[in-house]
Amino acid sequence: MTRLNRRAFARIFQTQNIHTQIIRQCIAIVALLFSCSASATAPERVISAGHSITELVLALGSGDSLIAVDSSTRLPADFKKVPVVGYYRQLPVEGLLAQNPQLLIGGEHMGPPNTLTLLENSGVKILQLPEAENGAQLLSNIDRLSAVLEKPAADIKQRVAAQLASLKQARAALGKPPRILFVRAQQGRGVKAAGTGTSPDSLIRLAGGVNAVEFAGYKQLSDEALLELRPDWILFSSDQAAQLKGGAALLEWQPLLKLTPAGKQSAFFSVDGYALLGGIGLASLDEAKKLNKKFAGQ
Amino acid sequence: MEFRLSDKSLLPTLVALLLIGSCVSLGIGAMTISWRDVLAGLMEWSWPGLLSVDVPEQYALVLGEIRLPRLLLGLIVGGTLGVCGAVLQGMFRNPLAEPGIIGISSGAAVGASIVLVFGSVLTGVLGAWMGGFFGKIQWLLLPAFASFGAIFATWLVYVLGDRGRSVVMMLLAGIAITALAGATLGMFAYVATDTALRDMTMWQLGSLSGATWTGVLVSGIIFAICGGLLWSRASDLNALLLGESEARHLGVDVVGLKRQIIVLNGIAMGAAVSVSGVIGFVGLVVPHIVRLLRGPDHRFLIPYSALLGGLLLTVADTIARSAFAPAEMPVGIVTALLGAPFFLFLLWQQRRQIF
Repeated sequence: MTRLNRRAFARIFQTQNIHTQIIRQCIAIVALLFSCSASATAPERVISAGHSITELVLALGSGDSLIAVDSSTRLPADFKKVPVVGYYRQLPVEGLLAQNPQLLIGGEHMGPPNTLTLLENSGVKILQLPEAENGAQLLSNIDRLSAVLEKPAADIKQRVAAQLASLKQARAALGKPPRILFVRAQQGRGVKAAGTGTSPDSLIRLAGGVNAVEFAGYKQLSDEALLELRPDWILFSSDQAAQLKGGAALLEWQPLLKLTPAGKQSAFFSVDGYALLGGIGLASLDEAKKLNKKFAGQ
Repeated sequence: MEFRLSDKSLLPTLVALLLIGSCVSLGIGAMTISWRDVLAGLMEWSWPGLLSVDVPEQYALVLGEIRLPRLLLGLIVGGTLGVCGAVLQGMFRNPLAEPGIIGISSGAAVGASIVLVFGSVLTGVLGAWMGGFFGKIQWLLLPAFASFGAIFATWLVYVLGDRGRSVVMMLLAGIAITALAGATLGMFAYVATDTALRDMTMWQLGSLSGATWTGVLVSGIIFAICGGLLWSRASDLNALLLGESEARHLGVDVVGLKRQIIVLNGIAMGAAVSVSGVIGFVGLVVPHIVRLLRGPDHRFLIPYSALLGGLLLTVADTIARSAFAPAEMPVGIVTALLGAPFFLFLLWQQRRQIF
């Protein structure tokens, strides 16, 4: 009897197993179909590394899918709280994977390479955008982002194009372009100027100025070189504005500056630091407009 | 209060702590993984489909490609730092000798920075010279340069310190080398591109986040060979503790011994430093703790320093990558924060018994 019972039980369990198997398979098929349709829609878990890129993600209306950002990003005050995953050049693999992202977007300097390889191996999609040096590159970045995020870009592109067109007109109206020097200064340690290939350089050209220095990257300037460069305007990042007392401190630290056109006119201007991160972004356009108005004497 | 333990209890304690530390390190991280899944994930990674365990594919990747190589690298680098510190202190017969303090780490940093800053030029020249073969050994460039820098700095300290006899000269030489290396690094920083500059800075802070299986394999093999060879000279190092002429009378080839130590130390430090950057304090603190616990006999000091160094760095790295998760901080900061107060405490307890 016991043997019979066992067999009966076994049969019952078997049949149950078959049933559960069928049910499971059905669920799996449904899930598969669902995941197929899900993969055809926009990525829902996005990490953005780099302020100017996060700006674009938000402008494209993908703020809801943003689940983490890097430490260089400043989010709008009313934005939901999201984790900060470290600096965009030193992203920790596990920290990113723990957020379970589908897509990681960042600039060309995002890294380290080891992190990106491991993320890709685990199935996270990665999009690296070049730092925009001009308006055309910004527009192409918007296109690539809108394709990946599957959000329409027409509105924002139209807005950017209009801003670029108005900047172009304003540049033409300036006549002779003013000579601009972008500095980072520290008391007693001289002045570093931004040369070609830097974000300030792109911003200066967008606003209609010429960069007073021609070297590449950030380099220390000698006092005498400052005279030689004859800048009409001296710009600095807003995070230095208090330290430089709106530019007055520069004249104290570098008395020779008083002999330059910019020093004579006290022609200093502080630029929003976030408009200078990662090339030309949306904030840079507004900032370029402001700068241009300054140059034009408005 | 007596800290010294018998060998019978110290070795099992160290091994047990190391095993516990390793397990905790594997279990903790930015991604929360349950203990069952840690085991299942490791199994699934090492032999997919052996046991039909149901574990998310991501866990297997995180454990096998991120946490496990990182843990092993921590053990290897920590072990290297511990052994190098112990052997250097023995050779210089000075408790202050530490890779960081006598300029070895700075030497390695200069070597590595040459590759980080002038990498493209170097690759071009060497590629033209060696042709296609160079592509295969290109990844060796950074470890090789770091090792050369480390060997050169150690050799300079050794020669200037009157072949290790003059402690004051040795420390002065170390300070001068550190200053010179600092100036050289500053010069590199000036000509470096923005990206190379950031790489340099990050590298000098020290981190295990770049752990790969290649790095583990290379530094592991080098550590095993150099560490083993150094350990084999333990009795000679013990004789050296008595003084140089006494060691010579006991039949130790003192000059040859020192030469070997410098080269082996340089290679081991270079390999460790090139995968992890500069990590301070482990090389100084670990041998001292072992000496306080077990006495200055190099036959025990060297292997125990390896174990304790590995343990300390693993614990530090676990803290570094989980304290501010999902972000990470450089492990060098944690080793200093952990090591220094503990070291001060031990010093206070054992003021008269150190060396």
